[in-house]
Parts: sequence; C-alpha cells; structure tokens
Amino acid sequence: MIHLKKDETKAMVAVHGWSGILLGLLLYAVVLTGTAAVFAHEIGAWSAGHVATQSTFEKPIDAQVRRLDAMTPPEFREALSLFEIGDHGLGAFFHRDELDAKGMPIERGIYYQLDNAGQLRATVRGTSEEIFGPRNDDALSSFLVDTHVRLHVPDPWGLLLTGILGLAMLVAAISGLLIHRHLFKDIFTLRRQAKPVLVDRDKHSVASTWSLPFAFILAFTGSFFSFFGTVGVPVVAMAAFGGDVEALSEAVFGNPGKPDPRPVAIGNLDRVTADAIRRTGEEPTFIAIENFGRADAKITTFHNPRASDIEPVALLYDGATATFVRAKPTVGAEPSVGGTLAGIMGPLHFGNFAGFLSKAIWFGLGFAMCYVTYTGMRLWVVRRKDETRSLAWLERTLTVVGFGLPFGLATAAAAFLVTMPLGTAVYWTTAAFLIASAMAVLAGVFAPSNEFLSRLLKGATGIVMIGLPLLRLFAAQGPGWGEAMAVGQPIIPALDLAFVAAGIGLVRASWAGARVRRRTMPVGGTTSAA
Amino acid sequence: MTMFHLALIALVLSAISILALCAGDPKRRRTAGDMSGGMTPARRRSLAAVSCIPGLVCALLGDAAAFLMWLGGCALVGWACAAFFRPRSSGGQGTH
Amino acid sequence: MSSRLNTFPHSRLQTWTRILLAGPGAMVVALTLLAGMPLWLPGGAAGIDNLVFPLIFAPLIWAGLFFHACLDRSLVRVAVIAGALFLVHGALVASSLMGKTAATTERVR
Repeated sequence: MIHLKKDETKAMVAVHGWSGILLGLLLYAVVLTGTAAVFAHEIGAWSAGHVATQSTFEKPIDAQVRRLDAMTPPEFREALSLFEIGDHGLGAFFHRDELDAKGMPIERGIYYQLDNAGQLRATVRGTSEEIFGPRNDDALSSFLVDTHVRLHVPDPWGLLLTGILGLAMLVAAISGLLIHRHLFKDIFTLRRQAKPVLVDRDKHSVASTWSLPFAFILAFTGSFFSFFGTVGVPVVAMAAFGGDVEALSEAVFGNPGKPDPRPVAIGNLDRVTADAIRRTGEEPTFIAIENFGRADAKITTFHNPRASDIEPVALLYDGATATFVRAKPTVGAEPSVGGTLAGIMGPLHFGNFAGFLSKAIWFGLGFAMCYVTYTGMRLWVVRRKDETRSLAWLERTLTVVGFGLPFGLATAAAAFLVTMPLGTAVYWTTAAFLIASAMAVLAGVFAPSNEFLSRLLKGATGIVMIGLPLLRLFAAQGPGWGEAMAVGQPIIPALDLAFVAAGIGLVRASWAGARVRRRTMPVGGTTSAA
Repeated sequence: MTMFHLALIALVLSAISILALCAGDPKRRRTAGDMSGGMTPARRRSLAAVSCIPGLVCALLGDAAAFLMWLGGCALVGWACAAFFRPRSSGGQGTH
Repeated sequence: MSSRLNTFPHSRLQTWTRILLAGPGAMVVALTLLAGMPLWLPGGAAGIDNLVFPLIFAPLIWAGLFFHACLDRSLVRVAVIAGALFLVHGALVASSLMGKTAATTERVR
C-alpha cells in the first residue's frame, strides 16, 4: 500500500519485529486483561451476584450524606465525592486536598462504604491512593483492571511501564502499516496449504489489517492515560504554572467563580440527583462536590454520553441552593476543542459510550489485538526456529504466556467465587492467579513438546471456565437465572453461557489437537519432541 | 431511528459488501485453488466504496457513537469473513 | 562526515546515530515540546487548549519524531530538526521559568 524503498522497509521490519518481540509478552498481558476489563463492571455484577434493581442515585441519599457529614471531622469536609459501589451501594469520600512529600497534590480523607439499604459497612481513612483498593466483593474486577492499568507494579513505575507498552503498540501499528505492501490485496487471504511461516504470516497480517485503526486508537489513548499523571501533568505544570500542579488542575477541571467561604449547609442532594436524572435520562456515574458546606459550594454530576454522542455529560449545580446552573464540558469551564478531545479519550479507550453493544464490539477488537500480538510473536519465532535451535525456549515461553495467562485469569475467577463468601477474596484472587501462573510455567518446563503444552493449557482453561457458573451458583451462592432475569440482570446468565461456550470450545480444540497428533504419529513408534 | 438502529443497519449493509468482497477476492480464490480470477479491480474498488457509504452516512448525521460502532463492527465482520472463507484442509499447517 | 551521515545506515556510526536520535533523542525532544508547547499554543474557547493539546498529543509527537529519525535518509536533517525543536522549546521554557523566578524574587523584596 505504502511503497517505501528497500532499505527503509528493512528498517521498519526491524523496528516492527524488535518492538514486538522485546515487549510483546507484556503487551499481550496488558491487551488481554484490557479486553476482559471492558466488561469489568459486568464481571463484577456476575461474580458478586448483584441483584439490587435501583441505582443508589435513584433513591434518597441526602439524609445519609448529612449523617456521614456529622460524623466527619471538619478538616476533611473540604470536598465530597459520591459514587456507586458494589451492588448499588453508596461510596462517599469526604476529603481535603494537600501535597505529599514530593509536592504532588493528593486527597486525604475518610471513605464511607454503604450498602444498598443505606447501612454503613466500612469506614476507611487515608489518602485516595491508600483507600481505593479492592474490596472483598469487587476483588475480581479490581484485579483485572489493576493488571491492565499497571501490571500490579507500584505507581509510578507501573503506569510508566504500561505507557511504554502503549508506545510500543503505536510503533508496531504504524511500522506494520508501512511495511505491508499489499494491505488490501491480502486482506482476505488465510492460507492453510503453505509453509508454516506463510500460514502464520497470513494469520497475523489479516487480523492486524482489519483491526489497524483501533490498534492505533487504543495504543494512543492507552499511553495517554498512563503518561497523563506520571509525566504529562508534572511537565506541563512545571512549564506553565511553575510546578504548581494544583493550579493546572484548577485551570483545566475547575469551576471559576468568586470565593465565598461563609458557612452554608449544603443544598438538598435528592433534588440535585432527581433533576440530573430528569435532564439526562439516566443516573449519575459520579458526583463531585467542591467547597462542601460553604456558600460557594458547587456540585457537578457526571453522566454517560447522550445517545449518538461519545462525550460524557456534566451538569453543574449551585451547592448551597441545589439549583441547576448549566451543562458544562467534563474538561474546561466552557466547551472547547481541547476539552472535547480530552473528554472523548475515555470513551474511545473503554468503549463504554453506548452501553452493551459498544462494549461488545470493543471486546471483539481487544480479542483481535491479543491475536495480533500473539501471532506476531509466533511469526518472529517460527521464522528463526530452523536457523537457531536455542529459540525453542522462546516458543515455549510464548505458549506459557499466551495460553497460561487466560488459565491464570480463569483460575483467579474461580478462586474469587469460592472465597468471596469467606471474606478472603482480595487475597485469594491474586494468590490463585500466581499459583496458576506457576503451574503454567512448570508445565512449560516439563511438557514433552510445545504442542502438548498448548493443548494442556487450552484444555485446563476450558475445564475451569466450564466450572465457573457452577462455582458462582453453589460456592458463591449467587442468584439463579430466574432471579437474575427478574431483577433485570441478564448479564448473569449471559456470562454463565459465555464461559460455558468458551470452555467447551477450548476443550474441543485441545481434544481435536490430540486426535490430529495421534493420527500423524507413526504406527508403533514415538514422536520426537517439537 | 435510534442510534442503535442506525449503527446496526449501517453495519449490516456494509457487511453485505464485505462478504461480497471476500467471496470474490482474487488472491483468496487463488490460494483456495480456484483459478477463475475473481472480481475485477474496478468492481472491487466500487464495492469497497459502497461498503464505506453507511459509515459516511452515520458521520454526516453527526452520530459519532453509531459511526464508531459501525467501524469496529466492520473490522470484526471482515476478519470473520476471512476466517470463515479460509480454505479447508485435511491436516493442520502452520503452528498450533 | 556529513556525507557519511546522509545515506541510509550502513556503517556502525550511522546506525548508532540513528538509534540515539530515534531513542533517547526523540524522548528528550518530545518532553521538551510537551513543556514548551503550552507557552505558545492558543488557549482556545475555554483557555485550556494550550494545556490539553500537548498532553493529548504527546504520544503522537513522540511517534512522529521516532519515525522521522528512522526513515529520513539524511541524519543531518534529522539532527537539525530535532535540535531546532529542542532549542526553541527549551528556550521558551527556560525563559518562562526565569521570568517566574524573577517575579517571585521581586514579590519577596
């Protein structure tokens, strides 16, 4: 498609190949968990058995918030964040802004966790980094998201790592476009009767060609999110605000207005939520209250995008009187090109702008990108296998990561379902993942051939996945299909069916591979290891 | 018409063109052993242009959500077509 | 020397120069652009475009510098463009920081 000169193509092939093989295994982990994390909310509802029918913001919250306010020390009443947690419970974070030891702004306060009946279940004190960790009922979805966002490496290194992986994916997408001369001619060609290298090349190039625009979008938005807080904000704040990150944050996200610190009780929050739901047609995803308890208090409700749009909606209310002021952009005080671009980065990356349908499409595209990453690394190894026998370990490593990671994630889900009723899900979800990963590594070391290893991991993953609905129902005492449908949670039976179908598919693939192997074995003889 | 209807209709219309492109793809046919030649380049280009029209309509109507779902859906449809129309063989080639 | 750097890489010197320009070079220039662009970009309707655009486009800016360093046949041109961007934006940032320091010193007096 794009005709580079021979030496330029050679350089791009080197860039594409080396960026892929050096960072591909980690990139695969990020992309795979990201694919699963598209449905993190649904997986949370499925795994924890959410059966509450009403959003917390569709019910009265004003009295609960005032009760919590009375319990909160005055120094933490500077601001309040309200959001849904668990099975339509309420999370309330009273906090103040302060600077940490490195001069970076943080939020410190008290985080109250209420269930959907309004009962206070837990109170946690600390900074936002310390207190917003996984809970017992959302340990599985938190595990998926945290693996994707920072590979469980502490900040800022985890974010920097995933940011670099995003840049690597961007480089691979652009260089792949530059080196593929016949992009459209090859777009439907998947050979079977050809040399293994050509077969693998077709698999990689067809999947990557079709998903190219999204590889670009997801790599670009992903690295934006990773680098935004770790590098971008400090650098821009240094240059434009003399290092004052809070001033930058105020300029970009703040609501300008004349300060008025006179103490005034906050307005009726139920009036705000009812009005916001009436205006947008759906409940808020988040409510931010600045200058809580002051005459200049402001309440901002954040909502999913309107139909046909992808930019989230934000409504501004006067905090003291609970009256509607105006609709505002999520970024910036007035509508602007920069604010819109910043506002759509999230929906473009998460695919959550149009409910289940957009998420399903993003899930499919994420799967395509896992496939592209995996087949790309396989192609690199297979191309060199005949020349260099020492690459056999790399081929096995690829199989261990490629099929061991789904096995680890499925096992983590199983462990969550077993331990959630016992209150130990946070520990065992991660522990089970690590144990399953260790088992996959051991299998990689001792398996007689790479082919056997691949079949073993596929089969094991399939068996665990088939068992997940049973564990959800009996071990986690989750709702049956009838109850789930009655409360408007079709996602529960849908995910049950999806896991069973995927599990059966994997077991069949493993079995079919074993049958082919037996058919091609010489009669009465043994085969050599691959 | 809601955004979902628009996105789905656009996707179905483009999917028909993509399916036709796949069925008539000359290189795919050659690798499957069919030497009849497939679609002419001019016809392929026209069909490719036709497959983009529904997405263009979504964009011109200002429906960004429908456009993005159409684009993503077309990618998945195209990939699925290539996989479905892959020549069958008795033994597996390539890896795993 | 410049003629050796003006052909696509064959010698070790050319290869390593290109790797340095595409690797740490592109990273340093991209960070300098990230710091300097807010100082000259227009603010836009909400007065934030100059802050938000560099934050959003930083990955693309880096990618542009990276691929330019990889593909431009003339390493001298790559170095000149990267150097010019670095110096101009670095000077803008330095001038802004010195101006802020002077203002702070004045307020303290």
